[in-house]
Amino acid sequence: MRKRTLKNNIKTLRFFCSGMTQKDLAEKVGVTRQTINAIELGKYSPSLELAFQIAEVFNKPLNDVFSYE
Amino acid sequence: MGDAEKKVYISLASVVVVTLAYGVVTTVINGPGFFFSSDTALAGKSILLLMVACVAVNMLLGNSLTIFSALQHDPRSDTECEATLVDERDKQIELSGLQLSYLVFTLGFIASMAALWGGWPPVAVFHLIILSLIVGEIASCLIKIVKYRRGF
Repeated sequence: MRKRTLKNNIKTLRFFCSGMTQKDLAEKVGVTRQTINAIELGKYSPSLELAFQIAEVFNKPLNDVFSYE
Repeated sequence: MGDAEKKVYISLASVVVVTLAYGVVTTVINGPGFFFSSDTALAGKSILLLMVACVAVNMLLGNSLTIFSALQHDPRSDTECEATLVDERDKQIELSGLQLSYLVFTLGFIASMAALWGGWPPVAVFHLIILSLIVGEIASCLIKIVKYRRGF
């Protein structure tokens, strides 16, 4: 069975959100900048709560930010 | 590198430095035969001093890092200082480190009891128990570093 991983568009969404930095996003959702970086690079899968918080910052549904491929 | 990750390096450094210092000082003062001697009072005193030194060095280095981070933090910004921020990823990494250190300590403790059963002197068994604690702590730090660097 093919291994599926969690992908995300956070970097793109940050770019379109007037160049929001990782630090800005981290402060908005209450985590460290390193955690946002790890999520963006696919090194860490966030909790459901954090995933919803990130999606809420970009005003997007969860599916537009994260995908399971 | 985040502050939680820096604390792991500090913890690793303090454990390695204090343990090496303990090994060298104890061997120089009491001789290499001390670890297999029957002087339990001296062993108890040495191990107690090792534990106190380990906690003191860890606290000293940890507090220095916190003070250094607080000094670097801009007081005009209304954001929380990162040194005090522990998020879900840090907690998960901490938990996996704790799991590994318990596992290593448990194996070391079982080995110590087997050694005691096998007729090893109590001083050597005490040191085996302390060694398993130290190895557990080092393994915990290493797994945390790997998880911070490579992800999970």
